[in-house]
Amino acid sequence: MNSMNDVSLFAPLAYIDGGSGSMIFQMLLAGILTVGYVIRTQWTHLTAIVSRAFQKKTSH
Amino acid sequence: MPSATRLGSSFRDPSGFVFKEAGVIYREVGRSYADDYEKLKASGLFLELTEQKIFLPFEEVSDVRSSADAHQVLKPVQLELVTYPYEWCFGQLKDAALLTLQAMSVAMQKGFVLKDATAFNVQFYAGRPVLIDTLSLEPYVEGEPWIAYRQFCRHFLAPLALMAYVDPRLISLFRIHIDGVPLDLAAKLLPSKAKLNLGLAAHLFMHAKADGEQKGNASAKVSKTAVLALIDSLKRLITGLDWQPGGTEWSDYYSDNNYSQAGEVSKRQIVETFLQQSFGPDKTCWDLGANNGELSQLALRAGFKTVAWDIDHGAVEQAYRWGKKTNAASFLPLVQDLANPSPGLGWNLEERDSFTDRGNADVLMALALIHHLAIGNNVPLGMIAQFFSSLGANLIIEFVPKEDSQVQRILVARKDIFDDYHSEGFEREFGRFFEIVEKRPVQDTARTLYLLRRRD
Repeated sequence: MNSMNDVSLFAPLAYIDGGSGSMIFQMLLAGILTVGYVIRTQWTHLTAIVSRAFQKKTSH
Repeated sequence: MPSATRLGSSFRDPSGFVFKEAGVIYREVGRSYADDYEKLKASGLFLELTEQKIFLPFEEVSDVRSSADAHQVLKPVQLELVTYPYEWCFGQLKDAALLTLQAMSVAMQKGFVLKDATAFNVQFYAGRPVLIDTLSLEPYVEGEPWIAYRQFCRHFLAPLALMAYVDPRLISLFRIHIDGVPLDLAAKLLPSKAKLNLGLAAHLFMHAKADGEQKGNASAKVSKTAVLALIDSLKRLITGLDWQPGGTEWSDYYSDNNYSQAGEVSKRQIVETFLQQSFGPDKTCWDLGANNGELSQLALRAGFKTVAWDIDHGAVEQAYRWGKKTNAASFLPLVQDLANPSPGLGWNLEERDSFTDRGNADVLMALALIHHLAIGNNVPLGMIAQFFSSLGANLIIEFVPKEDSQVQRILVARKDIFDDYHSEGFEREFGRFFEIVEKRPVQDTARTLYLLRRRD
């Protein structure tokens, strides 16, 4: 496991400064947002499947 | 590169640069970006992004000399006018922000990301925003955060939040902060109620606090799903930001002015006639002090590529919404204070061109404007004439005399020190820079419309 100082994942070849504080904040925020995002996209996927199945059933 | 001129704005990204040769804009793809460029081409992403009108189309050219480091030279579709975010209304900046996020979403589906997210990479083409920097894309590396997240928040989120919650004129902060509005400054200027918006609380207020801290290196990773979640959150946040153009200085002008119906009809007929006399294929018209663009539409209908400049955000917002609704591809409304126009900005004052550097219209319109400059701003008539002559070859201008109620309104609370402000003084001063082609009185008013041609 890497220590806090031995690996940089702040896109070292990037030509703009992403800001180290901003990058760490992004990691934390993106992690939190992922929960809602996955639920929402899966729900959308699920309702699309149900809707298609229902349409097939009513068209017979 | 002996004959080509590298643009003063193109030096930050080592992947390539933009240059001008024989009046045509090209982009050089440098060797350091060659692998990424070829991967992008092979992926079909360029094609998809241009087909979806997210990126400005371009073609590869081989007959143009560039630098010794060139991998490829690209010729993009040429833009009529380069504009900057501090000249956009709320709706334009919002559309530019959503376009940038859309580009990021489409790119990620094909395994790429935007490596920068500056608002200066967006221009307006055919009435809608497009991204112009072909070199902004690079392959996505699993686990890496979005390097341009902070830049996106400074260039789009912070100014949009300030415009929506405080005042649209705060977009002018872009003139001072060329790399976007600092998040800590936006957090200080926003009202407390903005913190109740969960998206702003996270992406702006908490982000501003974190941004001020130097963390050194870190070993955490961000999954692809997490980056997509971040983009999705920004999209929903920005979609929800709104500003309505009611009750600003000029947004109600056409329902609150001193024209009779006959005067209005007469003015429109004269302007249409003057426009027809000045028309030719591919001609451009700049309407100065255009308000919500109602009279700019006369130029548009006459076939001109029309830019409508006005100081008032409400009026420009109305004009932009009209242009979107009617798909007016040759119509571009923009914010501009003619008494303090956009200066040259950035490194060596060459990164962003001034308003006058970009002025080369075939026809200028200045309707019901001169009294605001001459009396409202104390600018002598000769200096106004000189300024206009630097912007365009022909000028359709309305002289509004002192007896007009709109001038009287300006003079109500100030001393009349404008002894030379009369039609003779106008013709004398403008005559130094323009020939009078024709002049006609506007029916039912004391106003006169002139068609002037710049002296060589």
